[in-house]
Amino acid sequence: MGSNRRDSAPAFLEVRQVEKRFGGVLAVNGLSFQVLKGEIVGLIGPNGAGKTTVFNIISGVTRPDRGLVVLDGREVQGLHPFQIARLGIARTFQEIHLFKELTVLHNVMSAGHLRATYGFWEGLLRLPRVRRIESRLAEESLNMLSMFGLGDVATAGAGELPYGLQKTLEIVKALITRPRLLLLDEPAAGLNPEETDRLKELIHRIRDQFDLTIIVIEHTMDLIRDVSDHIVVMNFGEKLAEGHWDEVRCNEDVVRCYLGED
Amino acid sequence: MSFLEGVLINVFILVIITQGVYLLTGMTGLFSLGQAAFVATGAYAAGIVATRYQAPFLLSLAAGVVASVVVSLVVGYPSLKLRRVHFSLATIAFGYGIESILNVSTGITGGAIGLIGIPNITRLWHVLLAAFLTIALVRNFKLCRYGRACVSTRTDEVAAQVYGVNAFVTKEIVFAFAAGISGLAGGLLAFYLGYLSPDMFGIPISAEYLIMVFFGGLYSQTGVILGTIFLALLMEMLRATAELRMVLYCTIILIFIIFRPTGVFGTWEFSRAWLAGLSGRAFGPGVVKEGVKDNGFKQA
Repeated sequence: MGSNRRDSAPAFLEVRQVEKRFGGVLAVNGLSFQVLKGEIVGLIGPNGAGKTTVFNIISGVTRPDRGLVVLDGREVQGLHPFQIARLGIARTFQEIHLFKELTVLHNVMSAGHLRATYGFWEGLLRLPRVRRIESRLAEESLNMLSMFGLGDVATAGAGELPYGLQKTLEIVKALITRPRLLLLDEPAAGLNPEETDRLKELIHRIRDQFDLTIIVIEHTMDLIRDVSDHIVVMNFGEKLAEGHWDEVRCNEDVVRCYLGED
Repeated sequence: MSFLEGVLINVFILVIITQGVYLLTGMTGLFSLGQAAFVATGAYAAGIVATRYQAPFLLSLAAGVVASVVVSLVVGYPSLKLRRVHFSLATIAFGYGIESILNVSTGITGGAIGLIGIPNITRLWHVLLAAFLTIALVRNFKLCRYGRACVSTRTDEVAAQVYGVNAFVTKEIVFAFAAGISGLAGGLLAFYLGYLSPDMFGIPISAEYLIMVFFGGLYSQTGVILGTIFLALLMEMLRATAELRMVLYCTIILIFIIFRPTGVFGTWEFSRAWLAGLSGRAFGPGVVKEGVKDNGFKQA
């Protein structure tokens, strides 16, 4: 994905002049960037740079004060999260948001809410069609869990899983919604180097297998280096730089304010 | 009608009502302290159409259900936007509101004197049939995607929304569903007692429903049913002890709650798999196990 393609291809997701203020703090200040279809974009920056706020805005959890978020030609800023989910954006959370008291399988099936396409009355009467759809969803959920090495713990409580597996479960839950755009918020946080290596592989694999476009927030720089086609660097809510790893790495501002610090 | 039949009618009317409370509080995490007001709405609506317009039994019951659902939609729209405790406060206000309306509108409801002359039609088999249908519908609901949406909304509302669950609509559905169930129970109660008065549906009554749900097991449909039956029968049996009745009743409940804070049944659910001796460790509000079983999956 050279810069040529970035200049000519239409954006799959465009964030344009987005602004969000919390009290007196400008969490996101006039941020613009584009994500092409099939790309993996890394979103990096020091703590408090506003990265998660950007995810919250894209996924509808937070409303921006100003600016546009355009998904595949459609403005989505200010929509409710459940509406945005229906348009094909899924996300994971930095702080794990599992349904901890439910089993792993139940977590995935709950996340598959939109995949169970029957109405309230059908569900209430548990018509044969409902049973069919439910058993298909359960089967698909189990398959997906097996694919990510969680098949054996499908009936365990989600809160009982080791941290690394909880993180994987978050990704499985996002994938069961069949998203077009996946937002990963610090997927490598708390993982050991081996797990991080597996995660890199996994991110590439799901992009190809599920035909995804991915934005990933991460502090683990070697993960960003290895998976990102394009990198956006934020600082104090603003875009500091963007480009390929090699370009970003050499950028003076970035080195000074972020990479140098570590 | 025998004494025993009367007792059992009371018991199973409570079983119906607590199924609604289970939907609201157990599955969705909404604490309604005004649920008795929906029973009142159903009871009065059924009683009024029966006494004024000589509507037949079934039609009056239907009127009770519809009235209760309509009121729940009107009340639910503003109050379900509120967060947890604030919602509960709103339901208390609603409970008092309905009670006062029933007291004040003497011309329609008979006011504080009560609504009299409702025919005595309800028999035990009516109530048992209604309880059976209610339990079956609640079970189906719990196993379908809307039931899962309730549980996700209770557990983590932000995450639920990110997976496409409209939390507000989910709460509205469940609030209306519970109101419909309460309305049905109210109608049956009206045709059993033959008269109604506003003080039969106060806040303490709503609190009693909640106690029954907590006692049996907030997250277990089975527990809610059995807990309700046990407590309702206990109340009847303690009649012999006259003034000590409430003291004993409360003491017994306190002892149970202290030793089993998750309710007598915890999260355990009755199921065919359990009957077959296949059931392993129960986890979560039982939805999963049943869901998996019903979806034709064998568990190790």
